Amino acid sequence: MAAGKASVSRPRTRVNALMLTLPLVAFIAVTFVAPLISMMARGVYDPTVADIMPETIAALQSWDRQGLPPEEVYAAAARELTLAREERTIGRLATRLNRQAAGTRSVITRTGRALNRGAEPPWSESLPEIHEAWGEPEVWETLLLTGDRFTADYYLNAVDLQRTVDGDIVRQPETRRVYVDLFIRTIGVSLSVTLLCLAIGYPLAGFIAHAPPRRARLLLTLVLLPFWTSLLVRTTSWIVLLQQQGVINDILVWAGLVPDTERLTLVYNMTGTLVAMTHVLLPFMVLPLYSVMSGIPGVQMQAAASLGATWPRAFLRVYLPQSMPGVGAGCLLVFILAIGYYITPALVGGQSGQLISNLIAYHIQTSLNWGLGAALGTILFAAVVLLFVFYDRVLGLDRMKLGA
Amino acid sequence: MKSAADAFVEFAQVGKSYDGHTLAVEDFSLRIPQGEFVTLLGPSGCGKTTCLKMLAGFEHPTAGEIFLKGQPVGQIRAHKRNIGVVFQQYALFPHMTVAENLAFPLQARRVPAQQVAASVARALDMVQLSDFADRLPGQMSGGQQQRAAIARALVFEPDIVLMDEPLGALDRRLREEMQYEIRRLQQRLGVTMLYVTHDQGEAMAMSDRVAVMSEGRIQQIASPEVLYEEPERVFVATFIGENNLLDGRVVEWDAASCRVDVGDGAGKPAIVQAFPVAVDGADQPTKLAIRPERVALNPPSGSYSNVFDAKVLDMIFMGDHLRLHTEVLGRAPFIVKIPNIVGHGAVLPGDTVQLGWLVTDCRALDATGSASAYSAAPEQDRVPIATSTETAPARG
Repeated sequence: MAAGKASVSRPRTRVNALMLTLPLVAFIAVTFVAPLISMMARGVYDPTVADIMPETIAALQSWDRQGLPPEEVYAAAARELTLAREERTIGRLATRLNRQAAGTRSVITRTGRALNRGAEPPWSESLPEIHEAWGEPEVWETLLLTGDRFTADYYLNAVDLQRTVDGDIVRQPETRRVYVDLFIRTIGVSLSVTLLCLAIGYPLAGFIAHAPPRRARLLLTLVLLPFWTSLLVRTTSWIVLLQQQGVINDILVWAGLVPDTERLTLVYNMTGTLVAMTHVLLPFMVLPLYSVMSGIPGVQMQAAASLGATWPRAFLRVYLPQSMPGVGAGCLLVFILAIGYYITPALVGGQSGQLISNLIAYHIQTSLNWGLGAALGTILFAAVVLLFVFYDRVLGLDRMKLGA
Repeated sequence: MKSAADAFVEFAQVGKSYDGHTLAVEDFSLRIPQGEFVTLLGPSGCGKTTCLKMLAGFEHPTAGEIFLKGQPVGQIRAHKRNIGVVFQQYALFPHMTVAENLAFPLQARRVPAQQVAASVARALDMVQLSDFADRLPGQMSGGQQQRAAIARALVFEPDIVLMDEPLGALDRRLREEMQYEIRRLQQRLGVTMLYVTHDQGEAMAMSDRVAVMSEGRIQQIASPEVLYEEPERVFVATFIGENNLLDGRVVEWDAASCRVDVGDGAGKPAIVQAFPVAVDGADQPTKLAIRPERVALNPPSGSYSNVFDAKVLDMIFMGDHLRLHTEVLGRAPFIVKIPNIVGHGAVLPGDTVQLGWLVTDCRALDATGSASAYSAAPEQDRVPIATSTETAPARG
């Protein structure tokens, strides 16, 4: 009887348990997974041109690209541009085309205005009269390139590449190559911050882990204190410390290490970004390290010494290997947080201290080039996922210890 | 400092204080000849582990000096002392296999790889762990881990091996097996051994000599037999095995025997003849220690110098012996053990019997020390199995 009852009730409990998690699953789906997918989709799906100028694009398919397109293409373009102006979608179209080829915006807007005032066929003559660009093949090639609803352009753009009308993929002109350098800089900064955090955090965590309990509690509180302070306060206080008339420069000048006329530029550049990010991310290094290190009995080092190992040897062969799960977890955590860091570089980074996430924010908020922002964000996301997979393969996520 | 030529290890008036005013170890002197197995036995907090740590180099004496092979070790760092240490929690390196653990001390000494492999194999064979060379410590039982730890402490042929409660984490059966194994190894290799335990059975079973410690001092150091048969202090008498204690005052004294009044002072004196150990004159307070198994029940008249009437309060059947709780000379419970042999005589609670014991089995010890000295000490681990029965004068 008892066994039968148990086997009946178990699936029900499981269903009940699953039901309990349902609100959370739904919440995550609505607030996290769906926006993520929609954002990633923007990087490859852009129907602007295809929606606004469908007939022009269709007509252009038959263009042999020898010389200019035939009259019917001009006619379709004139018709659809007129319509776009009436429906006030012409601005979006102009922006989209301008991203593909700089200078196209004025072509579209001027043509829209002229068509509104009234123009006569044959369009293959009147359009070039409105703007000479219609007399060149480039503008038509731009239309053809942007006519697909699905496009790799944003991703290509995000890695400083572009697609020619012949379908070749070439590098952007030198003046427009930004993102690869920025990705490299972001990874470089993240690595530097991770190494700085490790260099400061490892001895600190070791000291806390093997201190007497009372002192350990106090030190741990001090490490955690920044967590309870607003990120903005922490970052801006670094400005107070690091600026040219700030505390650190004042002390250096007072100590005579730096002449008053040559105060160091410590903020609004890469130095500021490194210092502030290291400070903000340090607890994420110390906590996993502490949790792993406090599990290493002090007697291990005594045993190593009694077996004849010098301190460096005992550290390298006995202590360090046992603390590796904490090192791995701390580095992974700090690196992943650093690679997407936004507020601190925005506040103290100045021009040279900007990272890729600042540009993503710029494209999302200011230039409204969401497709490019999405492409950059997705690449960043993919990099983090790759790193995670790599970590799992090499060190094993199951060996990672994040907290006590 | 006196010469330490004949002693392999010598502690000379060593003292240690962690906080500057309370002494963890006080005036600790001990000489260990080569090849001897010496155990420091005492309750937790008595300073025995501190002595071990000072010899290993993990702690430093605040007074006195420690000599190893005649050389003071004060300036020698732990990793240069060539001392093998076995810790209570094994302290095997969890990320290394057993073989790697054993190779560690050899590699630290820059022994050639070929020799390392041979030495490791020999050491593993010695503790019957040859099949476990490639296991991680976490994949082995407690007993196997302990054997690996012992092998690691022996593999580099240290001058002396220190063991700090190495069997504390094992169950009773395994503990007894390991006691025998450690003793056998020590004798085979002829290695000098300093062993720390709070378990008197362990100390008795393994050691050449046992140093009983209490409150940072050595109370008595002797072979297990002597410690049991001839305790010199009340602490030792009650810590090792079981003893009945009778408070009294010396009435007459000479070097071979003394007469002690154990009466309550109000009634008529009750005189017991005792062997003077820690008394050297009349009118001194003393505690008489009498082993329960050395008390004869209804002895033939004239054979014992001390014979007293007693009332049986309780009788517990223990299998191989009977345990009587009696009241004698106004003290209770006075424990008597009677071996369960043919003709031991039936005794029932309420019976009045006669108890007798020899002068040599009744040792007049110091009156100051008492069993409570160790039960008041901070308790971290189990108090020894020894039961001490101190019989206070019955009131009223």
